[in-house]
Amino acid sequence: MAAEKSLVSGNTSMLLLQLMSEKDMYGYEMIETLKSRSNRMFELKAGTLYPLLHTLEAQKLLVSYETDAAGKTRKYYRITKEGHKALAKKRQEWESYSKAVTQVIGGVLYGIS
Amino acid sequence: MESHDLSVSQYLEQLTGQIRSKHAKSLVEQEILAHIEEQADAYRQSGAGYEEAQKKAVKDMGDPVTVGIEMDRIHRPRSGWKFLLIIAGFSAMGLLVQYLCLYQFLGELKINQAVISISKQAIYTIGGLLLMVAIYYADYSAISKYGKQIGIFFLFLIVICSGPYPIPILNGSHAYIKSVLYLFVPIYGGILYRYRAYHGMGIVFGLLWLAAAFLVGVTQIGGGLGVTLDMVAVCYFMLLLAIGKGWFQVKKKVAAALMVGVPAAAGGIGIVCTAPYLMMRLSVMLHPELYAQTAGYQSVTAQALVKKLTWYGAKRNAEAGIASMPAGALADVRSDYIMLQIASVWGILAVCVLAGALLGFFGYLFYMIHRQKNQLGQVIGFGCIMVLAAETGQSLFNNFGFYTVSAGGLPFFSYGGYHTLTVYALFGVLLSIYRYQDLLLAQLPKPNKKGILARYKIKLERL
Repeated sequence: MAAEKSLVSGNTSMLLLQLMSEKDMYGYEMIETLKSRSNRMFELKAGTLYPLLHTLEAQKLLVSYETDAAGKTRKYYRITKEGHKALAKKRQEWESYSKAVTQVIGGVLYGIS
Repeated sequence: MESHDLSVSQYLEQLTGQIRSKHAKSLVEQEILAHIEEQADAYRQSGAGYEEAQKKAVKDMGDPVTVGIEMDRIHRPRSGWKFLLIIAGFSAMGLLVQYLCLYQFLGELKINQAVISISKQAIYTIGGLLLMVAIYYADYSAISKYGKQIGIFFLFLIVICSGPYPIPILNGSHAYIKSVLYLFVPIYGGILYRYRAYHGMGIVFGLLWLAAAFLVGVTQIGGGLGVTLDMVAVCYFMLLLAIGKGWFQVKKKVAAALMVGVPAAAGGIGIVCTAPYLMMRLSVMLHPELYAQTAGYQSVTAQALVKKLTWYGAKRNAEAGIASMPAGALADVRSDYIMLQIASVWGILAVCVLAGALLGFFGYLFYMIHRQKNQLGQVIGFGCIMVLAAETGQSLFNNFGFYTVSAGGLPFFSYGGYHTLTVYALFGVLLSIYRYQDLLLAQLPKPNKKGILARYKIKLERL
């Protein structure tokens, strides 16, 4: 089942930056990777992805470049130094947030020292 | 219309129709099209038919208009209202200062039988502001697309206008239009951009263009030597900057050899040819008092007036009138000695504040140009700021008694139609650079290993 839209949208940039911190990717590849790694929980629409990528690029968190592969021209995105910093910050915020939620709704905390 | 009714081209048309920036339009279209094709391919691989896969891929994209509006919002030119406001403020202040320090006293004294009123300069200022705004909205990168043509046209225009028609001769020459030469600076940036990746030949051509501009400036416009030297010096630095940015892809040693060797050779020839004239100019610069009746007259007069200045306010009483002011002693006070006049009415401190504010604003513009990433914008932008700063610096020196090659105006505070329009045009170019910094392709040149000689070889072989 697809997760609640509001939960996803606020954190999509964090997820995308995470993907690109691991390797450079192009748009379609990001959607597929996100889908497979989240067990289809995150099915990002292209219409949401590309404006977000362009926004991140305008904020200098990503840079783009084009390569020709197998006759196709693909626009790849690469994370920048500022992007790494932003990602670290977002991950920290997410971890505080999810810790707080779990504490409120109760339950076993995994991996919390 | 639901998206599954749309073909690929219809979808793209609806999406890009929302995007105003031409550059962003084509970029976005390419990227989205590539995505739709990949998605359609994926569907085909899992067994869907050609048309069906395409329709499904388009449907997956969602509403084109929503996406288009988002893209348009992201890819907008920057609003330079802050700069426009500052310039408007300086303009108003400049007119006010000129009136309070000069024009309100001039009922008593006619200078060159000209109309003594602030209204002419006010009209020039308004015209300048309109010109600046027009250039601000225009895409300055057109200078690079048509750089050489514009350069030739510009130099040709100067030559034509230096004849008896169409611009009238005043006091024996066209000296009053000389500031227009400064407009070659942004054009030169565009010209250099056309020669990128031409290796050493690019630098040679750049220097040749400089030589052409120098010749036109020195021979055509009477009294244009100072402006020409400023313009050529700034263009030389722009060439250095372009080399430093890797525009010509040439080894440092080659670049150094060309940049030092060619001007040194040309300069050497020039010095030999003009030695006596040069010596005289140097002599006037160092000892203007020896030429107090001729070339050094204005400097000596200015120096005498400087000695009477106070830090705050005017020592002489108000009844002393205009004869005791620079306005009474120097004919070109409204264009060349305005700062001295201001100092004689309000004191040296006032001039320090005004000059400081102006130079501070140039610093802010410099910082803006430095921050924006577009290569062409950097070279043209630095050129424009350098020329404005050089003019201002020289004018201030001149105002306070130092002999400069030619007296000049400074932005906002000095009188002059062509000068005012030129200054505002340069501001317009700077603001246009700011406005379009995110939207223009800021590419470095693609490596052109063959270079210009090889290109001509290929053309010959094809004949």
